[in-house]
Amino acid sequence: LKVSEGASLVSLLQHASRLIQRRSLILFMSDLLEPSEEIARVFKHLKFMGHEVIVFQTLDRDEIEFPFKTGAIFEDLESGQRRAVSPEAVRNHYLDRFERFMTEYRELFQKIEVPHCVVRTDQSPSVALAMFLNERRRLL
Amino acid sequence: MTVFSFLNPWFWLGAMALAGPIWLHLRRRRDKHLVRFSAVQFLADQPPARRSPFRLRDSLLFAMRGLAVLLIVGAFSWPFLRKTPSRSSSRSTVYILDNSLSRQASGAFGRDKERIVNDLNAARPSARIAVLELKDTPRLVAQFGEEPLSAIEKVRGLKPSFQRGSYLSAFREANSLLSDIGGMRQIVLLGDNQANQWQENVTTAAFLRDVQIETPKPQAHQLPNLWLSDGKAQRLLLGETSRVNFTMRLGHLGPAQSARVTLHASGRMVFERTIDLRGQPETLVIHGECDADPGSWLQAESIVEGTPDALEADNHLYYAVPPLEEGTVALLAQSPYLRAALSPEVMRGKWKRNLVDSRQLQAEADHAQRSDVLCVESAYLQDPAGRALVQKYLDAGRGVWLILDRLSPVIDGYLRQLGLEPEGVSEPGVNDPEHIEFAISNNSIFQPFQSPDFGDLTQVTVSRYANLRPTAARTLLFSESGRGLFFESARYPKRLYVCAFGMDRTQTSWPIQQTFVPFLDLVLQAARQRVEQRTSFEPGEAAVFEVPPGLTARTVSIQQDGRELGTSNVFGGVVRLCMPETPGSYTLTVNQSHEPWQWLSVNPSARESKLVYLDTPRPIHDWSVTPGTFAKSSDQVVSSDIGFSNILSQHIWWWMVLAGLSALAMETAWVSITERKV
Repeated sequence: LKVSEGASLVSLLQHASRLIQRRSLILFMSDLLEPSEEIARVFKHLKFMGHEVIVFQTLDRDEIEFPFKTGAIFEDLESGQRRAVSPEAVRNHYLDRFERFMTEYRELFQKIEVPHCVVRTDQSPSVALAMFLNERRRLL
Repeated sequence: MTVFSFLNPWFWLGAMALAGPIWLHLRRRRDKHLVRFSAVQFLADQPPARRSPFRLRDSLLFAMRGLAVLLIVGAFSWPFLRKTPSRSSSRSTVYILDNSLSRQASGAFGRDKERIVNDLNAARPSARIAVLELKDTPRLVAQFGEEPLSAIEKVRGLKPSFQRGSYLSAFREANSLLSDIGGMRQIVLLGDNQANQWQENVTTAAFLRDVQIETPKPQAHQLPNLWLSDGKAQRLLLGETSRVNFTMRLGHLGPAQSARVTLHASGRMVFERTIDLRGQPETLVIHGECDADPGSWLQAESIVEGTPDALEADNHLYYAVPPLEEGTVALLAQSPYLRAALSPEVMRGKWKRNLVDSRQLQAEADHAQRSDVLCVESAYLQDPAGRALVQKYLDAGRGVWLILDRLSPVIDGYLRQLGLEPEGVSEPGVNDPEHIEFAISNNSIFQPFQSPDFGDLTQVTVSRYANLRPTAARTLLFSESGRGLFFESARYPKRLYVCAFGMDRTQTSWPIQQTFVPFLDLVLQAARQRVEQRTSFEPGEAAVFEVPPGLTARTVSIQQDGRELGTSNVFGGVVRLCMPETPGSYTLTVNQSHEPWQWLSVNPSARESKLVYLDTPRPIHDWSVTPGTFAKSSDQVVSSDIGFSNILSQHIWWWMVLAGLSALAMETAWVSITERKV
């Protein structure tokens, strides 16, 4: 598997809905750093098709806490876009935006009844597995 | 505009300035503070950062663009590449070969000839070379377009000359040869940069335009030399003998301690002296006398020997002394001493005396042309006829020697007309007379008295003399008290001489002195009107001679030791002859005979003997239309004015432009093929 560039989450989900004909359990792992409107529509479609979906949102500690101290060039891993950032000055602003972003997704998955598990990359994979089993037990 | 060179430090400084930014950006290829981040979308309001603008992504593209910029900028900085003059095929060169006497020093003339021969041999077929010989007048030896072998033969055939040439006239001639020729033009001076040769033409207006100049670099500031010059010979009477007084100048330059000078006249040795040169001025005056037949030509030769001496061709000095022609003197004086000194017994063959009858002054005035000089005592000026006689002589261009044995208001008034203001009479008395203190020794009358053989002028005393203030006259003799005793009129120069005292024992002791007769003779000679026939010339000089009517000459030949060197026809009693190239004694004969009519001496110019050289001749800059751009030496050829036409005529300039445009075209093509925006 290779890392793809650009926003491809929506097309990936649409492709999965066309590919999977029988009712299935779909485990979806992503950072979800894409506009949520399209994603919400696709997840609703998967639920309508009778699939059972669990979302594991994988985030880095830096993305959650924004711990940077010194000025740096921030380069987007997918678009290559660059920004000159002074972290001390923008941290609060960033965290506000990030929290708003997470809130939107939490409300979305709650609304469409899709389990939503946030997995940090600096945590052990067993944490993610425990969360999956809990969610699975709750659904059963 | 200056000459372009890849060794110019400014060129390298500019190249480093160009390479600096590239080097800096190559160093910045790795960004030290770069964070790869997934959530940059939450930082969208932060300023965008430049994305590695100097990162070298396409080396070939960069190379093409860099090459194009470098070549085009280089071409339009108007480079002018220096070339070796003799190897250039598009260059027109005029060699000025200095063939003056000074160039014989240390064999330099031979080396200059070899340089031209080598350059002619090495020149490409399309090279244009001309050779000018610098002598009295510049002579074209080989012209543009002449076959190299022919030119080489002519150059090799040149003989060292004893003449003096003008750098200015040679440069003018060379410039006129180059005036109608395009391309690179050059004048190469092969000479010695003799200082006095450059200093003759310091005020000449600029005339050299777009011409490169190469001047020689002297090996030394000066060369040691001994030379003889300015030879003069004067016939005079000493007692009953006729003598010739020789003078010459001995010049010395360099470390020579002493010089041996000999003088031979008509085969007899006159003197041989060893002269100590230590602490002496650069030129010394040397005298010598000998007895000589007053009725025949006298030939003499003087030689200086010593070491070190870089130029031996100027060690000889030749004289040709004409025979004495008897003059006539009209004597209007009561002084028995004057009458005795001018008697035929004393002045035989030298002066013929005509005693003027004081009772027939008017008649004498009417026939004043009979005598060459009038010797008159001032007492006769009381008579208007006496004054008229003096004026008749002066108006006729003849000489007058006025002796003031007495003064009166009438005489005073006449003296004022002649340019002398009488201010009374000084009478120190016979018991306490004044001596002659000082004489102008460079005057021809008093010059021989520098030799003790002619007596001592300071032994002469005056006990009574007129105080004269010269208003239009020159004082030649001074008393102890500083008063003038002998004058030459400025209104009648070389014709009127005035003595402030009478030739009587009550006024002077001169008539009984040894110097009296020579002095008398010399004053009369100086006052005598005579067309001087020149007998001394420079090598190669063109001279005109008047042939005496009695000779009935059709042709005149110049000979040496019976060998004929040249002949010219006589037109209207005048003949024009070119003097021989070599110094020496020569004779003129008429109608191809071997009987000499006149003797001649040929001596080189003394200025050629002063072997002092300049490193950087200033006139070269003054002669240039664009000053300050001329060459200093043969090691360094600099353009006088590099024009755009000179630059555009270089092949390299066009290659630079063509290569730059090609690189631009390739860059465009490459970008369109790869469709990449760099």
